[in-house]
Amino acid sequence: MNKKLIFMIFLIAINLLSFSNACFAVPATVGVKNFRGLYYSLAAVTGIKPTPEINKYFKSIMTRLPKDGRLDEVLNPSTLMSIKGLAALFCKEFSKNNRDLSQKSDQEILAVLSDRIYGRNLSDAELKTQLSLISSAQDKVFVACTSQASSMEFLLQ
Amino acid sequence: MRNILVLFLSLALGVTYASAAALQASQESIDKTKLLFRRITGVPLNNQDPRLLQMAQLIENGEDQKAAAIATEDVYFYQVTLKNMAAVMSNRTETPYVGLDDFQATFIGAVRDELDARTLLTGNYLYRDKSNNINSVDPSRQHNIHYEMIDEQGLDYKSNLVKQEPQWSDMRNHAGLLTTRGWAISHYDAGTNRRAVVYAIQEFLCTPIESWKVAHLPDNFIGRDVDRCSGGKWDATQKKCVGDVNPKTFSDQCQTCHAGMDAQRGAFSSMDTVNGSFVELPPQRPAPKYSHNSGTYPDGHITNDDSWTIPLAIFNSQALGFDSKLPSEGTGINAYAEVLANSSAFKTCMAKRVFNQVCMRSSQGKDQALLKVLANHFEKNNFNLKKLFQETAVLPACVGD
Repeated sequence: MNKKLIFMIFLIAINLLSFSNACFAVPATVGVKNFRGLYYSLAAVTGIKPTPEINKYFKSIMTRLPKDGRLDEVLNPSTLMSIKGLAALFCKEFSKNNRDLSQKSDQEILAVLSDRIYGRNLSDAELKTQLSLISSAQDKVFVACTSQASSMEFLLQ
Repeated sequence: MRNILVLFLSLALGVTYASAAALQASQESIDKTKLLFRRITGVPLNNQDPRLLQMAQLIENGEDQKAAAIATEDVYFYQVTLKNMAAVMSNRTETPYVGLDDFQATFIGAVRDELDARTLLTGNYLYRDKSNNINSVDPSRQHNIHYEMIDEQGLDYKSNLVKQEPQWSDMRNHAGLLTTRGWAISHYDAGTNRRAVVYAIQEFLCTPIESWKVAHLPDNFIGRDVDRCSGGKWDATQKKCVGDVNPKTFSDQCQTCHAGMDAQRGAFSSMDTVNGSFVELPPQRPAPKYSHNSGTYPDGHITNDDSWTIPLAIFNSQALGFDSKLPSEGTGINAYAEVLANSSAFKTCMAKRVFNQVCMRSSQGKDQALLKVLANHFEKNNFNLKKLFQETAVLPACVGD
């Protein structure tokens, strides 16, 4: 269990580091989405209307998500795991509702998702990392979506 | 002939170029648009959304505020940004983790309809869901079911909230958010209604009591429940403190806060809660809580009605900036709320709250001049909070250059 947790945190840490400042305008202050912003942002980018399962989970972890949107609020395992969990639930529904996307190549899947979630194309380095992440996954759409939707770039406000 | 051909080609190219420009914007403007939209609404703007180019082109033309105005019409501005802001102001612990109630819905609706924000403290209205969504349960002073159902049904605030006037048909008094059930449950519940004074000034004038308390004000308004004989006790027959009394405790500590606070709390004397219901007491019959522990100092101030006084040392405070054209004393919660709403601290407070919300940071000393400018524009724009959001969000101090 502990090994699994450490591995998950490692994956999240890789995600957190996998963004480039050059890709988006840098505001005067960097903040992150708070719990409410994250919930509705996930709904907006996936196009998923929150299901009872999503809402139940959200209510249970809401207070572990960032309250005020300060960067330091996301820098702890409990918050990171909760963000990942919420993103995974939205992405599970997204994958279910977008079966045709899973028929496409890995590169196309990543391109579609990065356009939706990051609003840009992936850099070569990001593409390489994410291709290796989803290459052996059973549900590539779910894995890629969850990875991107819980990344620091997506969390940034 | 050749010249005509050149002219024709130039015109054609010009038209083509103009059309292309109409559909394109620089990457810099696109990035700025995305940031601006995210800051105002709390959610990202999709690449395929036609508003992206529309806003980017406005930004390229130097019309940043018009671009911001597109974002303030987005449904998530109401669902995320305004909800966050209203939630924090609505409750005692100032937590955003609270469900919708009448306080928050009224705040959100008033911003949407661009009402004069001072009416948030003085208005006789409430925002509720359209009756066709939630058939059986109307907003009530007894419970919050109506608003809980809005959230449970996932209804969006922007298109579903409607204004209800009067606020409560069975109440004499109205004072905007101060007479909502949400505020009542937070601040009229139990206690002595002193909390209502402290929080009204804290939430709407952004001034904690530490900043407006004044030492050595007369104690003539301090209630009977405040101990004047710290370390000893009051002897009713001798009419003095007896025992090992430390007189400085009352004068240096208790009196400093209570003199100003107790003088104002009469404004709320008709307000109370009973078993989760917000109730209004009949005229000249202050809530029983005003008489609790009256034996502690029987010669203390007795509240008989809803009259209130803002002691001059507080009324003239630069930090609060009360309007000298308005009275420093009066009767009723509405007249009191009007004094708060017309203070300079109210408009600065709203500017500060909007700044903190969209700029993702607390305003600091270096931002004070900016806040003053925003506050003055807010006043010139008839206290329109939506416009204040638009103006604040485009500031370089907020979203960068």
